[in-house]
Amino acid sequence: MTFNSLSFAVFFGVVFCLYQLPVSWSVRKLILLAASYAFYAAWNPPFIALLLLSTVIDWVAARQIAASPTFTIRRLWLLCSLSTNLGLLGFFKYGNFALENIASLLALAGIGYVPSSLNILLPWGISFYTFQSMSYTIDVYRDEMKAWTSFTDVALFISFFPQLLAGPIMRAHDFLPQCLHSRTVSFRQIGWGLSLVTLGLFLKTVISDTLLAPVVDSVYAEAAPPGALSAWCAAFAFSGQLYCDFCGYSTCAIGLGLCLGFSLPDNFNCPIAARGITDFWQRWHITLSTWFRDYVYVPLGGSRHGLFRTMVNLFVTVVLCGLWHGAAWTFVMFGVVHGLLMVLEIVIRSTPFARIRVWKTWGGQLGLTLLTFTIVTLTAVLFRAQSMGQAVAMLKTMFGLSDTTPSTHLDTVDVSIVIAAVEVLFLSHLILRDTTIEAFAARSPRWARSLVLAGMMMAILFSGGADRAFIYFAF
Amino acid sequence: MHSSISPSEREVPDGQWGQTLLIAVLITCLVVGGAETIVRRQGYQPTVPDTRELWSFHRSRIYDDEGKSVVLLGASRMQTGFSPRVFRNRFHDYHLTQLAVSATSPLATLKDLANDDRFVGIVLCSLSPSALQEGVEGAHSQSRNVEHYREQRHTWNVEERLKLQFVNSHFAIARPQFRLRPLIRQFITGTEFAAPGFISKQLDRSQRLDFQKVDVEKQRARRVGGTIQFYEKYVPETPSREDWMATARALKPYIDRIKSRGGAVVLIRFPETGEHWRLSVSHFPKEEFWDQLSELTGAPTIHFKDVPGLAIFDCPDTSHLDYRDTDAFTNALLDECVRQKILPDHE
Repeated sequence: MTFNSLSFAVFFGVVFCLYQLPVSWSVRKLILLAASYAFYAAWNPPFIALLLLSTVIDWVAARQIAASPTFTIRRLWLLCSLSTNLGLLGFFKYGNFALENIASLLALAGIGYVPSSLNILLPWGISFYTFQSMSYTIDVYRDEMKAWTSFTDVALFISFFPQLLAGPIMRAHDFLPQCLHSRTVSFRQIGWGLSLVTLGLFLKTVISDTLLAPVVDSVYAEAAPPGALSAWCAAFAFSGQLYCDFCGYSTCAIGLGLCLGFSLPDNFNCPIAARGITDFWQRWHITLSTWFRDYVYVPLGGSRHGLFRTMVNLFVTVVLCGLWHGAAWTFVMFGVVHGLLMVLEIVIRSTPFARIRVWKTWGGQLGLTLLTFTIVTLTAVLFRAQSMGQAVAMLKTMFGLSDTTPSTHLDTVDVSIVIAAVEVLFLSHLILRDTTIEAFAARSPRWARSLVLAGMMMAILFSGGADRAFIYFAF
Repeated sequence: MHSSISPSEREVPDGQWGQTLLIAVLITCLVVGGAETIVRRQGYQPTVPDTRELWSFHRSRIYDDEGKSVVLLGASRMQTGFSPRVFRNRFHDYHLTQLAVSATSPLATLKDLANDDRFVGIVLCSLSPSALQEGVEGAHSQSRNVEHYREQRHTWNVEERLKLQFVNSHFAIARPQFRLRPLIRQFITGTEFAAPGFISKQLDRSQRLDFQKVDVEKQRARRVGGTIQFYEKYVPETPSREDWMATARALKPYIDRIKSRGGAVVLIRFPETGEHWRLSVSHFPKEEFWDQLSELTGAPTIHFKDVPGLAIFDCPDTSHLDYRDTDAFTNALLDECVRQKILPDHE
């Protein structure tokens, strides 16, 4: 049951009506909690046990950390929380990957070891809710927030269905205070919330699934590399697809949260218009990058120990961030490349080259934006490819280094669709780069708002729905 | 696109957003309603994609505690020629399930039903002699549908059902050709819409063929051409009667299994005309093949040539009935089933 499905529309309608019943706030929260578990169970019922396990452990651990007078006991409870969450994540997400690589290493050492496949099914959203759950106990351990007494509140924080499967990754200090008092929802708020849901669905079903994904799939499905133009088209199409898919989910989550009276944090800020890789990560999957900043980069020392240590810390953080996306060498490589690019950016910023006036001009800024988008698009090939071999072959084709006969040539229609969609995305990000969607919406004429929303609704209806799951569910 | 405010203070931008949204919904409804009216006037009708999910859904509903379940097996002739409405009017206490699949052989499904101890009921199975020819079952088997059902039956896709029931069954604009991507492609290439098809697929998996919406001559030529190719590929000039009989005999244990649970299997030869019929009888003379089937399989048979009420129908494309004839044909077929005491005489 995903946001882009009729079953979700029915589900949300029922939950929304039940949530409006004139009952106590505690009961309304229980309704949301039950709905969240039902939402997760709709995919695979047994996996709600994992969600519950993570919740119970962290609720107990946080309370014990808060109640424990000694540092050792506090640390033990923190370890209990971390090992549970990272253990779940490690087993379900990285189990097979680790086993395969251990076997490869042993083979290099001349030891023949053929592990039987664990055949583990990855629970949807596990990377999101374990990170969210862990951050709560870490915050309590650091005395940055109090241990919450209400189990319902903590369980709702970890499982809140609008953001359960693919974020935004909430922090306890943002969400739990919202559980203290009954959330009132105005007609205006519902209107805006559903407008955001419409925008999110438009990004997901129309631009990502209908316009761009078929082009990407047709090129990457082939065993042999495509022609150079097709490879570039597919690369830019995937950049757009990934953004629209994930931002679409986040926008829907924020809108649905608003309809229920909850505020969720932003996850994207026009990343296609980023100027530099550091700027990109401040605009892309913001709640993940700030999570890594707060719980990995800063504890490693951040920028407090000189330029070299800063670069090492940054590199390690970004590589881990890449690995978070998936158990494959392509994701590790994605992290390594982004880490190196960020380090390179720090180096360049410290040279006189960075202070040339041209970078501050309109043309210079546009050039930096285009360069960043192109670099990110090239690294996204690692993200989409099914193996390192395919990624390398695709990149070689893009730069004319491939000597194999092209297998696929996109037709004019597909190329036109990709160019138009990516251009619109790029320009819209350029326009909205330094403003907010709320400010932009507030400035637009009333008739235009209704017309744009109606246009998006029609496009969603006519898209036909390809029934694609959101890409980030698999992370 | 971001908001500069922290999550706990997220604001709603100025403006009557509730009203704005309602106006947008109203505009959308008007445009979609208008588009639906226009395409229906052009002759397009709603159609339900006949997917394996839909087949699996119907497969999962064949069980009836009183054994009053009738399952239709076969290929396109059963899907297009048998009227579920007529059946339900006459046998309203029976549960009817359409499991025929266009361009396939029904043997895999027949075997699956036989092996399913929970199934007790009557199987009306449309069969052509060529379906028992060596190689046909392998190439045109319904086994993929059966496998899909076996793999998916615990997770019937609610989403698919909602779409089929509320969208595809009611809206002509939900047809694949009116989706955004094909529309954009048509806009860029300047091509015209494909003419309204003559096949309309229903949620119960029955299909209606309206030959008035199609160039019958072309359709007939296409059908006959396809059939000739089929015979050239699978059926020798003089097919081995022994092999054919062995295949038919192999069905007997399955049919017996259904009968042992109180059910019944009827093998039915649907009407064919013109070149199609000539090809069939030249390769599989009725007396040598079909007429032996009842003895070989232990199942009663109904051949359209043997029942005057069934022999009067014309197949515009030589193989399928027009939907205007299906009510009369179904009534005649059910009369024969009653006469053979396969179905009870409700009159």
